[in-house]
Amino acid sequence: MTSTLRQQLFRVKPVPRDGGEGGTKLKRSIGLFQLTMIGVGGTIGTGIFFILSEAVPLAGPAVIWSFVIAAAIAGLSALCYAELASSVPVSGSSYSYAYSTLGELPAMGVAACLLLEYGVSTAAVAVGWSQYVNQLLNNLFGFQLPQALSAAPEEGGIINLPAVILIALCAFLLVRGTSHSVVANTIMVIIKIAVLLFFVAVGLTGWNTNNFADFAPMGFNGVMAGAGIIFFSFVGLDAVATAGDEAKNPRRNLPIALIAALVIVTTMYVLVATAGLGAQPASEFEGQKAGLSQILENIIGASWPGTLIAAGAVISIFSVTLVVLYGQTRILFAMSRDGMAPKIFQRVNPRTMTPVANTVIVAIVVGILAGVLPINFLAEMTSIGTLAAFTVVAIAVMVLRRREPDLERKFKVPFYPLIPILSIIGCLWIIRNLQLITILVFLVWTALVIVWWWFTGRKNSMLGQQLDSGLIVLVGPGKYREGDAERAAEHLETGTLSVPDPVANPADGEEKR
Amino acid sequence: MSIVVGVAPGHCSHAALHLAVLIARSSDLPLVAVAVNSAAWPRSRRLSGVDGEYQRFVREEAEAVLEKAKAVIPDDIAATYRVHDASSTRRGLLEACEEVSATRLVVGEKVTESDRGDEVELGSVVTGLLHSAHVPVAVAPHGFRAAPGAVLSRVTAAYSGSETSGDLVIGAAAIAAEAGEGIRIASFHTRPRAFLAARVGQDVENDIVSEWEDQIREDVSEVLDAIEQFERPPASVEVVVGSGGSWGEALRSIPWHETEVLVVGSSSLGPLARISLGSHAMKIVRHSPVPVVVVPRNATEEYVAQADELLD
Repeated sequence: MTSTLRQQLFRVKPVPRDGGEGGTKLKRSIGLFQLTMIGVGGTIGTGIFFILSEAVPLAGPAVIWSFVIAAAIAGLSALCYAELASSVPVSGSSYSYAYSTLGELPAMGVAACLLLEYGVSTAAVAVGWSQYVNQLLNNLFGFQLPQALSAAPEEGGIINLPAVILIALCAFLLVRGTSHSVVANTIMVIIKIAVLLFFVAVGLTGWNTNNFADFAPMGFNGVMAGAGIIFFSFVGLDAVATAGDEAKNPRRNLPIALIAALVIVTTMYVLVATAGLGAQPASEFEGQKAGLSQILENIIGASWPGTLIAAGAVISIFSVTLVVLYGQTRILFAMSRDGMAPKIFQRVNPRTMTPVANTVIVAIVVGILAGVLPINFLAEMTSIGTLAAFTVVAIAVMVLRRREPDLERKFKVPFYPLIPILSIIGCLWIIRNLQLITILVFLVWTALVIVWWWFTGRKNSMLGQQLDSGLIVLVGPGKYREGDAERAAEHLETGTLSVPDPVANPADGEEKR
Repeated sequence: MSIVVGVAPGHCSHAALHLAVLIARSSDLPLVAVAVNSAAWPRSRRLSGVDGEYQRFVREEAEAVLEKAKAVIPDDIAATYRVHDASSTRRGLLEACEEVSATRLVVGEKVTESDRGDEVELGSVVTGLLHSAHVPVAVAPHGFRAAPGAVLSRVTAAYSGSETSGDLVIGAAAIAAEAGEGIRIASFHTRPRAFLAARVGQDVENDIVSEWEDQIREDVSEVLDAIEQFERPPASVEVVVGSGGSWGEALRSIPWHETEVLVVGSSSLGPLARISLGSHAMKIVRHSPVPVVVVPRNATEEYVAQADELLD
């Protein structure tokens, strides 16, 4: 009973009815304010500290519009994400959602996007951190790492050492077992916002309207190219959606928190961009390192405001790196349990209760990326990964509405189908405006992941094995029913398949997990 | 060989005495009740006047508490009583252990007026002992009582997955087997919280936990193999995993006998653990519903050797 190719490509992971194992369901404990803070905390700190130096050269002062466009598309996507998260009663990443709605092949596509989004954005953020660490060292001790040790080869260095060290540090914390608290998150958010508000307050003292004279030198295409690279700094907004299953009254609070987080983040970004542009001509942004610090130092003529900003950036970027690196390891872990990634990623160290090998491998790969790649390329790669994942999410929302209209959804996208469609158009539009090399690398990468799945995951798939052994029975395209509900549920929970069903398929006796 | 139980002048040490009696009866060893007179320092000088009066007072206090202990310890236990002069209570107990070549030291938790609920509050003396003792230290939770004539029915050994803890479990099993008790191998975990801002959902940590459980069960099979080699097998062998939101919940999530002790290794109670928080052994001691026998790092080798002797 081998499944056909079509079945393999689109087998959909069944959703556990009782909400998964452990039996201990999380209490709905997160209120509206904290939910908003999770969105703000997940977002601010990824890009704003260094993205201006990359985006202003592309768009000129019209970069303000780039921010607004990126925000609008991020908002639309986040709404779709929220519906998907609330209608699939598994908690997880968009990989899990895609697997439970669209099937295995699309899930692998999303996984490819997510690996880019997480892995590469960790690298990008680490590179940004390295700039601010250098700035801080210089301001405090008059000492700076040589260019060779603090820049990527393309930028005239050998390796970006601080970025590598940051990744190693975060990996160490994750291996030791660090868990997160809602309170810590809120404190980090307050630090970030305070630092940015300080920048705006000081930055506005250097206001010069002439800087806006040539508002959009590159025209509309420039604005869109800027939006492409800036989209990266809105990565993390969907944290609101995934935290939704712990939120009180999600039907009301989820959309409010999403919109509130989006408004807060966008306002902060636009304020920072406006203050920065008012303080120095657009032409000066290019190649500026630790941009926000530099701008303030140029205005005041003293180093202390820059030091303050640099210190704030070092703290908040650190927390973001930790969180994103964590996310990457857990996505690989989930994939490994599904049979979609090598087994080594699911090995948990009994002492620390963390996936040590997984964390170390991820850290090495991300560390290499951060060490040798320039930041603008990394930022664009993150953007394209996120945009593609968001596109799939919007498609999944529409597929699910059509296929399972009666499914209980705690949150529904308003103005359906307008918003998912706009979200898809918006994402594709931004992708179109990214550099050709970015799109090519993305396509090659996704193709590689799919090819890899073709030769390994397709056969190792836990779900595939369950289907083959008759634990789950396929009833029509994309529809499954448990062959033996109790046993299937049990196996789904543990993710193992140690005892094949001898009645359904005696030939599969040697098949083991 | 004997069991030393520390009784503190002025405190009611019933819990420690009950536990000591239980352990002494189960292991067929004599009991030595020690009251440390920590005011007698420096020892050599004869004190006169007010100092002498005070010395006499504390000595009388110590003797009085030993009298009280006599009343608690039943007749079937061979017990001796001694007042030990030392510069500190901790040092006094350790010296007494050395003098009578004790195999266990039994102490009680700190008694305070404030009600801390289920949590065991360790005084400075006990905390110090856990770090420096060369013998396993049994800590009796406040209010611990054993029925007259009771013996230990089972020993639960905490298993953390490390090699040391594997050795300790085997050691505990050997000692339990020798005394005709059952052994239970227990691992505990608290559910870690996922990073909410990481956008991977909350359930992923549950998966990590279940993977960890599989791993522990796999590792524990090696320990079980070793136990199977025993000439005299334990009365029962069991493997459990306790889980919960906090250490208290995790420890209470598995059933306990009334006459049971939990053996915990504390390789992590080293010098570093004194300054860094988060030692699992310490948390287990604080939240255990049954008496805990902590095997300090200094005592681990001896403890394991003792078990080896029993096996040979």
